[in-house]
Amino acid sequence: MIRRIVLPVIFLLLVYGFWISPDFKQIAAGVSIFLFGMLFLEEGFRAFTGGILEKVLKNTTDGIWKSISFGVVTTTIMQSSSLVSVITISFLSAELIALASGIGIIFGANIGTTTGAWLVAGFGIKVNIAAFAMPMLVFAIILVFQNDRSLKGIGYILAGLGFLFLGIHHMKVGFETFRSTIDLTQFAMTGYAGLIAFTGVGVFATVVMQSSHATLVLIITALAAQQVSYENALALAIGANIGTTITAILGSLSSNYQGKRLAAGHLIFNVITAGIAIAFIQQIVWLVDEIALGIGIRSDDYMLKLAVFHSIFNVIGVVVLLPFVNRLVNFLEHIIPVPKRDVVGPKYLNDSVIQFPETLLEAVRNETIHLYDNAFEIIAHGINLHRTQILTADDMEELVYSDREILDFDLDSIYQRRVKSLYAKIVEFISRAQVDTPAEFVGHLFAFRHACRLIAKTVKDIKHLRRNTTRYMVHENEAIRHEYNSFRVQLASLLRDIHDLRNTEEEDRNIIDLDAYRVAIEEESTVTTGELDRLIREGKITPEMGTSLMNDHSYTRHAILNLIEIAKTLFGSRDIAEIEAEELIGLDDEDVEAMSVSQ
Amino acid sequence: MKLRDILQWQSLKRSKKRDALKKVLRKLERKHRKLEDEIKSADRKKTRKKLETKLKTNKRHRQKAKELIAELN
Repeated sequence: MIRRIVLPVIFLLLVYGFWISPDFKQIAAGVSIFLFGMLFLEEGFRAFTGGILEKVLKNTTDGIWKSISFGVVTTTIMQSSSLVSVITISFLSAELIALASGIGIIFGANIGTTTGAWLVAGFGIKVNIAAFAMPMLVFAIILVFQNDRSLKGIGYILAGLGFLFLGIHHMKVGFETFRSTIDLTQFAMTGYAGLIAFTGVGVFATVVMQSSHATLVLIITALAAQQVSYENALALAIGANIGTTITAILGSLSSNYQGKRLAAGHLIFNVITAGIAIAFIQQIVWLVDEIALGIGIRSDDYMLKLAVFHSIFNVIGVVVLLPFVNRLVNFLEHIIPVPKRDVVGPKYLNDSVIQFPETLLEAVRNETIHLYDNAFEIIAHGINLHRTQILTADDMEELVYSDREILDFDLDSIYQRRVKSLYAKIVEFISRAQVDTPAEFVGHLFAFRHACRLIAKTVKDIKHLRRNTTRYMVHENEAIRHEYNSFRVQLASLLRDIHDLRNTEEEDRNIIDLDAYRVAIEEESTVTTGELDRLIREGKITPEMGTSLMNDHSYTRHAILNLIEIAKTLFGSRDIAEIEAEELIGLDDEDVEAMSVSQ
Repeated sequence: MKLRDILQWQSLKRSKKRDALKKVLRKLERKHRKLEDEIKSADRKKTRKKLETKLKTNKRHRQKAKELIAELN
């Protein structure tokens, strides 16, 4: 209801404002052009998120100081703490970084974003930046029309900067002429009442504009035109810091619990920082004056002093909260727990990763591994073994032959809850994600989807195998008991080897080692060696047992081939050349046949 | 090998193909030594049989890798 009213009200207020004041129109246009520039800038940097940014993020966020530095540097370069927050949320959702690292990046982004105030106050207001904007936009548009993704990205960044400059220019001109018609300083408020009131205005303005950067530029240009007092400008800057968390909160709505934790952490950090700034405003203002004096800023240059203030109170916030990062992590984990579901849902898939292809692939890979882990449990139980038994180092033959425990569980129901629902979610997600994913990544997405399909098929093979396995693994007929235990040994050994390979360093991991199971299933089965006929002929097994064995050999064989294929996709090399080399070296059907005949 | 894989492999530089094959071969040789040690210390006949299958597969892999490297030289 409120949403429906808000937009028309904003439109009416704007139309009324434009009607009564052409200067207001110019300021509003300036803000709009500035925000438009921010959108372009973000779009431009997104063009580089297909690899470089994600790789840097992965390698530079393994410690809290590194994370903070990363946040400072990237936000300074990109001039958008929102983009850094959104990327961080997507990384956190895909579990590529820890929550503490995410919080570190947000701390850094809060410091990095203050460089914007320095640039605008020191350069934007004092130089005619609109003169730079025009040629930038011309070059930008030429680059935007290029096919090369990087050139296009540079074009968007250049266009973004051009529009930012143009926006600042219009705001500046608007406020300067506004001064001749109305003096906004008459609304200035002093003391704590003014501090609180203008902090509220800062929050509101930032929530509406969705950009603390835009609010800050607006404050600086208003300050330059003496339309707002220095004291109130400080309060507005504090408010902008709280308001900016709204972007992160909105960004986290489509993310999982990790993204929500980070957004909550961002809000807590910014509110506490703002609280500190309000409580110690006199001391901070004194500190700003001292620093300004020390670095040669004129005592009446309130714009640069505002930039100093903005930096100082954010740095103070980081310094004060840094020792409590672990407690903050614990608190966030407590208030936003991992959701418990009876029906297994995706852990890593959420819309926040779709726009970053490498993160998207990692998320889909992790989710497919999640699906595999769920299937692993069903496969293990399907052949009447516990996962813990498979993952021990005990001799598999001895373990399987001595274990006669039948595990009682409803395979169909568990399949529906733990595999099918998740499989459907992954397929649905990939279908949506592939639309905006660059072509070079789509093939990988399809490979993961294929692996998911094989996982589901393997569980179905095990479902068919289970009935006779359960019946014959404890049968008094030793020959049939041996055959079914042999299937169990092969499947369990393969699961164990996949698990071991998964935990081997990539440098030593050779996924084609699993080809041995393709040979073994042909070599060791009475069905393929002709032994089956002899067993029936000699009456060691009944013909009914023989037909069951033939069918179940087929299910086991399919399960083994599928598991090998799944392992190659999920745990094999990620290097294209190595993947292809493994494909060429790996055994084909002719090799397998020749090797099993030549035993 | 799927058509996409073949095209992808063909698009790679000769030196890159050779490096990738050599890397896989080195891993296979390490595995070969490991399997030989394991076979020596295996005390059960069935376990030894499984290891021998792995060794046989490893041998075939190494043979194919060497042939492919020779083709590229």
